[in-house]
Amino acid sequence: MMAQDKSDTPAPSRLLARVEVAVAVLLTFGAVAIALFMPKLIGRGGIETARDFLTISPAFFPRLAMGLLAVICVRYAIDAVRRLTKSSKAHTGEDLVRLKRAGFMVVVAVCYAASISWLGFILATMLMALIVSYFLGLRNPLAFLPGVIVAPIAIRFVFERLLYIALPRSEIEFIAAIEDAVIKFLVTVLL
Amino acid sequence: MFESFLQGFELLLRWDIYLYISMGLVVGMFVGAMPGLTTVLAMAVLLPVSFNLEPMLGIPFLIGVYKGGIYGGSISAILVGIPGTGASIATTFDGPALTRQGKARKALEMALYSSTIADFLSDVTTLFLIGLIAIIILLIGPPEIFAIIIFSLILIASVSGESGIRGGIAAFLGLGLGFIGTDAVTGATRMTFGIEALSGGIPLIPLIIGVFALPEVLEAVESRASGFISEHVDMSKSGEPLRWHEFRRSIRTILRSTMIGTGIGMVPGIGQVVAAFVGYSAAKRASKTPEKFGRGELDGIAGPEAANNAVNGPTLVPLLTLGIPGDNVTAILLGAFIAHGIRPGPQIFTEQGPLIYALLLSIIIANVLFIFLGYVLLKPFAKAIQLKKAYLIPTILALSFVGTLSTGVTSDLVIMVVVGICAYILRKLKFDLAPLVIAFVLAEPIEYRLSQSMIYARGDILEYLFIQRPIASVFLTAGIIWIAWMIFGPWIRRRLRTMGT
Repeated sequence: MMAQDKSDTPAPSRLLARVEVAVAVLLTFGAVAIALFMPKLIGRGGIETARDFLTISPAFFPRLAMGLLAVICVRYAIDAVRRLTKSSKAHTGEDLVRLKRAGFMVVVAVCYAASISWLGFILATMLMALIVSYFLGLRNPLAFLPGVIVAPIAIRFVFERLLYIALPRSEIEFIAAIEDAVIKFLVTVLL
Repeated sequence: MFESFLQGFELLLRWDIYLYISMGLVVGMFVGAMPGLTTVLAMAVLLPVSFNLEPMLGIPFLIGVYKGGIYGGSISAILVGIPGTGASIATTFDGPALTRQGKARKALEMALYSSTIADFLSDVTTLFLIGLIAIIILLIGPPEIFAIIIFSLILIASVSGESGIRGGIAAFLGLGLGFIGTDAVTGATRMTFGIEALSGGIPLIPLIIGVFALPEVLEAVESRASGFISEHVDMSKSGEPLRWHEFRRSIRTILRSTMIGTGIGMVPGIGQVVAAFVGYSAAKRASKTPEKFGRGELDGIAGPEAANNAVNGPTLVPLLTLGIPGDNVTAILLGAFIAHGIRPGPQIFTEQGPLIYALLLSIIIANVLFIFLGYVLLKPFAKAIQLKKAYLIPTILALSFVGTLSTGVTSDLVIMVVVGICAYILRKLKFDLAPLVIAFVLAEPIEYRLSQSMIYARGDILEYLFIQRPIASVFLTAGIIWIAWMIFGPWIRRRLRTMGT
């Protein structure tokens, strides 16, 4: 069952084959650069005498690992270029659509991460859930709205009151007050 | 050791342990039954939940998710031929055929019984072997442990995914990420690029969630997450329950697969998928009616299901005795152990013997709960696979963020999202990211053991490792031979084929 490298495994599409080449080149240059400049990436501090006492410096192992990574990446890059030359345009359109959808979701995730401390967990999660549900094709509000509203409140309740994990409260006092009131109500009813 | 074992029993005299195991089993079965959602995703998202519980509750809870998930995968594999997890691919060979014959219930019950029996037996084996292995490992020193870790990492990287090269890149990337932060030997900071948040290193929870949860969400969104399955599942036509004489015919297969799974589980990096295929083919070879396999044979369910579940317990052997996680699930479990202040390694049985024995015993008890819950919840989960995936995606994303926020550091969200995007791209390029996470957690032990070995060597480290330390030499040489085989193996085989023709 040993997984041999299948250098001639066909890439799914030209688009992904190009992405693969780009990633391979990026990894190769990144690994080479880190291996070369590793001593400059070592910060001050630590036990200076330990560095003399040991024959191994803080740069040694990372440098070795990045050097070996660079060597493997060169081979991977060669394979990736080979796959690019053999790739077809057959599924490029389909892959592009898929990547765009994932790209949209990345934007949603980034916005969600950015808004979570500002809007607070409940409101930010409700907005995220609403956008994602709509994007995923759910059109019947009666089917997805209960989940959009209930899930964030339930998660906050469970994590804060049962597991003692504090979740971000909104910076806007008006929203935070509503969130707190909802959780207090649930505590009164359930605990 | 026996005293620790008895003290471990005492720790189990609490009802809440069984409640959390049951919750874990239910969540695991639910997620496992959904094609497209994995046990690893559930464990990654729920990992922070376990941190806020005591170790005796949090770790069994995660193990419950793991056990339940592996079995849950077989529900959709049997009913609609879509494996819920990779471990149940082999179950699709006979499962759907039995469903078409109106024997779905027999198949599901056979999967449940063979899974729990195999899991139970392999867990008992683990319980009795693990202490002895830990004692043996205590007798070896840092050079040997360094060599074993290196060998395991080579093995894990080479057997992961489709390509040894991709596995190698993932492992080195994991090591690279593991080196960020404060050097464990000298205390100097490195590779932080002036970012203060990185001076303590990349935290494990955002990394695990970023690697395992976010890419799954993105992949689900890619296909618009319309539904887990399009088929209608009618459990009212699932047929008769499994009869004793039918089960009795498969006992040999279950025992054989248990041995296969137990053996495979102890070797890092191989895992359930391989065990299930080996279990299936062994059952077919040993059968008096091999022609029935693939057309609806109960042994074709018992073989892979027993083998893949028998892997669960033994994967804890390298994890607990050496601190080497064999796969992504055990890497997550390692994260849970570390978060609870338990550093797996040879000393764990002397330092925290009762707790570890209690955890191992709780895993065995989980099987009893598993058989009960699995039987009761079979029908609801069979129905649940018709649920639309789109309803779950926002909740999974929210839980991923909550999990990351549980560290109390908001900047960890940035790390999680960045890691998640990179992991998604790598997964699109067919990278298996288990070696990345495993190498990440092993980076520090590797460097630390090498430093210790260099102090012992007092000079030529190569001579010390390869000549003065025979055990280390065996493992390092085996690793080198393995790499050489990976590089030159295809060429040698081509040459042999050419010579043959």
